[in-house]
Amino acid sequence: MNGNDGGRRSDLAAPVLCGLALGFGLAALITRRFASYEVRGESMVPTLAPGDYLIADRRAYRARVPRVGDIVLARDPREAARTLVKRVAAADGGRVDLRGDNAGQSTDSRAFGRVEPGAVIGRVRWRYWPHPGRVR
Amino acid sequence: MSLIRRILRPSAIADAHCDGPCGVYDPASARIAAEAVLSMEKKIAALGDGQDLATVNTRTRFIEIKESQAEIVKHELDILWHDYFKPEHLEKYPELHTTFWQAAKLCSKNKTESDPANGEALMAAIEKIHGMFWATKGRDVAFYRAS
Repeated sequence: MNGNDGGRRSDLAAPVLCGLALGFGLAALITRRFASYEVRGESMVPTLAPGDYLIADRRAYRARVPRVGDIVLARDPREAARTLVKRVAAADGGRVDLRGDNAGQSTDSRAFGRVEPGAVIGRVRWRYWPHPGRVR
Repeated sequence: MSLIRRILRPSAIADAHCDGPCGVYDPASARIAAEAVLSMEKKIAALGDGQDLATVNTRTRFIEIKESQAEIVKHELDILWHDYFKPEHLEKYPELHTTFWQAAKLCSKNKTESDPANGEALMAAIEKIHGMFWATKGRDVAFYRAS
C-alpha cells in the first residue's frame, strides 16, 4: 500500500512541480520582482560559476540596506550599463564595499571604490541551472 | 538538454567581472624569452673573438637577439606583476615586489653584459615567480625548460 501511494505521489510530482514553477514564473513576470540573470566571468568562483542561471530579488533592498555577506547585483560605477554580481564585504556608513569571492580574479571596490546603496539593484537568491538551490 | 538550457536562458547578464583577459596569464612567456637570452649568451661565448666580417655579423645578430629577448622578459614580467598579482597575493608573498624588482634588474644585467651566468640567474628568478604564480592558483605546475 505504501508502495502504491509512493508511486501515485511520484506520478503527480512532475506535473505539480511544473505547475508550481509555471505559477511562480508567471507571478514573477507579472510583479517584476524576480528576474533571471546569467553569470559571466569568474570573479565569484567558487560560489558562482560562469554560465550559472540565477534568480534575483529586485525588491530585497526596498525595506532594508544590503547586509555583509549578501550576494548582490549592482550597477558598475564605471559603466552603468553593466550589472555586476559581487558579495557585500562591508556596508557601514552607507556606502557598500563589493568584493568578488575569487579575490585574485575580481575587479571590485578595491578598484572602483565603494558604491552608493542606490547602485545595488537586487539580491541574488537562487540558482536554477545547473545545480538548483539557494545561493549564499 | 541544451534545448531546456536554451529555453531557461536569462536575457540579462550578471557580470562577475574582472578587468582584462583574466586567467590567461602564464610565466611561461617570460621563461621562453629568458631561455633565448641564455642561449644567445652561450652562443656568443662559443663564437670566440674573431673579427672577420662573417663572425662580426653573427655576433651582432646574437647580441641583437639577446637584447630584444631580454626586453620581452621585462615586459612579460611587468604584465604578471601589475596585471595579475593583487594585494592579497602580496600579503601571502611579502617578497613579491623584491622578487620582481630583482628579476627586472637581472634583465638589464643580461643586456649590459654577455655572461651565461646572468642568464642562469634570470632563469632562477623566473622559476621563483613561476612557483608563486601557480601557488596563487592552487595548482602544482612543474617548471621546465624548452631547451
